[in-house]
Amino acid sequence: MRRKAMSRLKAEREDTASAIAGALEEALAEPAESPTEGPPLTRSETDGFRIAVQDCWVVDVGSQAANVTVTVAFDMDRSGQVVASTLRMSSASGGDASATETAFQAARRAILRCQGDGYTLPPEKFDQWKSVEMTFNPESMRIR
Amino acid sequence: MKQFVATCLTTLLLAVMGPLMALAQNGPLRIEITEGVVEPLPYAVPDFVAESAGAQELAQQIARVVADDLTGTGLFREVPREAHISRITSFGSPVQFADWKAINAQALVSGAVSSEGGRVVVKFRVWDVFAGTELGEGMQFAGSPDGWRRMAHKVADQVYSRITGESGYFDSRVVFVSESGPKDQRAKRLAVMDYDGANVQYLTSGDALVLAPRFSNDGERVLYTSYETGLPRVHVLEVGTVQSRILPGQDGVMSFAPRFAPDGQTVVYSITQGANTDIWAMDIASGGTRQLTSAPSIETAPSYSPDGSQIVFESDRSGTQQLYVMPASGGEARRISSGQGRYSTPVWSPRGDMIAFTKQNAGRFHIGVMRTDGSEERLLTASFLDEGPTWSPNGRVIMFARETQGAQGASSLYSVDISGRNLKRVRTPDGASDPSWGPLQ
Repeated sequence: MRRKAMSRLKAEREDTASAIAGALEEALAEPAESPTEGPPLTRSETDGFRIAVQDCWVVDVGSQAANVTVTVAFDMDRSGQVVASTLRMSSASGGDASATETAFQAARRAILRCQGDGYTLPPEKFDQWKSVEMTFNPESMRIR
Repeated sequence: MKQFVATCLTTLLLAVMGPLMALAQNGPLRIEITEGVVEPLPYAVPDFVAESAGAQELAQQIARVVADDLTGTGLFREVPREAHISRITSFGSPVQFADWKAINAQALVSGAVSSEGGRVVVKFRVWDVFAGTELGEGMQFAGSPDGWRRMAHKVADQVYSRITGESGYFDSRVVFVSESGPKDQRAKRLAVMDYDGANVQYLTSGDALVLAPRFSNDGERVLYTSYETGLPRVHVLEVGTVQSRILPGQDGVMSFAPRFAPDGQTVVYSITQGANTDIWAMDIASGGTRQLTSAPSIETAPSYSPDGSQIVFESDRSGTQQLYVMPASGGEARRISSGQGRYSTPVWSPRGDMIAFTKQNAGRFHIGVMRTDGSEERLLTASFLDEGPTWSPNGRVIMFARETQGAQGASSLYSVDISGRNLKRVRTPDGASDPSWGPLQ
């Protein structure tokens, strides 16, 4: 009887140890992408950047391109200016090749046109915004 | 117990490491934008460069027609020439993008015109100013001096296509009924014009009442209804020769509301026998006919889907005029209109995704669009009398006839973007109704 109880206790300890090891592994797991250094952007800093670009994003609501959601990736320099040569489409969905290209061009124009002398972003957090992926989703603007 | 211990430990770890982790951000900064602006895109068209003596005026005229075409869509806004900083003095010289950025021109159209020996050559390039790149490659068109407007429309079609990713509609024509004289004694004759109302040519004399002209998909023929014999009968006219002939049919039977099938070989139309009107199809070459509907009601205004597999039409079989879709070979029809009021003159979009129609409700007429299953109905216009929609070749714009109220009321043509924006009148020399938009030439 006592031997049985000891055996059960031992099994429970092994399970607990295994669960703790799993939890530790999960919590300490390396992220898929390397974390950038420094303090993160605040919500208002991110919103300021988003609003600056959306003010220049011209959407033709009656076009086939208005069905396309496109993600544009680009790098920025420390003055907040887009490195134009790095602008690229990283993903798109919702349209044929022509509509996708048009959606990308409109997004690219928005990013470039509204930067002026550079987007207003905190220089001390450059590591957080030196590389950007911006998704342009016109779903809420489509004509219905 | 073990889960409890693991949860506690994880919580503890997160509490300790949380602040550290908050300082880190994985990968690039990710932002989603869901609100943009709906406004015309600013662009610039400086006068085209005259590359030969005497081409100066033509160069200016062509640039103006290109600008009128683009601005007329409502999708583009021309930056006035007075605001230009740079001048384009040579077609091949580098573009000073900074100068065009400074006036917020997002696109730039540069061009040149030469005219020698009765031959005009127009060449152009389109630039994405903020990207500092050329959109597509330079191109040129050649023709006779009197074809300069067409060449300008072709340039505008290319510019439109390169910026929007969709085909244009400027180098196209519209056949319509030209109306003159008082309302109770109005003369009606067929006419054809450029999409913008220029270059009107008359196709019939006005001796007989004509109605509802319809272009074939290749733009070479026009179907229409004429009262030449006293009763309405369907005719077909060759646009090139302006020769017309009556389609075969029984004497004393009214035939009307014709429309070509997409392949141009078959015509659908209505025949009235007694109090009943049905839709028939005729093979033009053989004259063979086939009855497509047989309900004891009025079925009319048939229009093919672009693939030729279905027909949308109007019928009062439910008690009021509504829209129905049936197979092109006839057979069971399904009703697609479901809102208040009466629906008529349906026309399938060239894109195949929508149907335009006339709607009468609460004493007002509307031009509207709906999906081909009847969903997502949207009314684009409202007036005393709007009717007879026709699609631009790219399915982006609808032209229709609007008649004003009263004894002096007159009919004229209007166009509207499918978004409901950019409603505008199409200028014609006289009154106009029943437009049918032809293909890109």
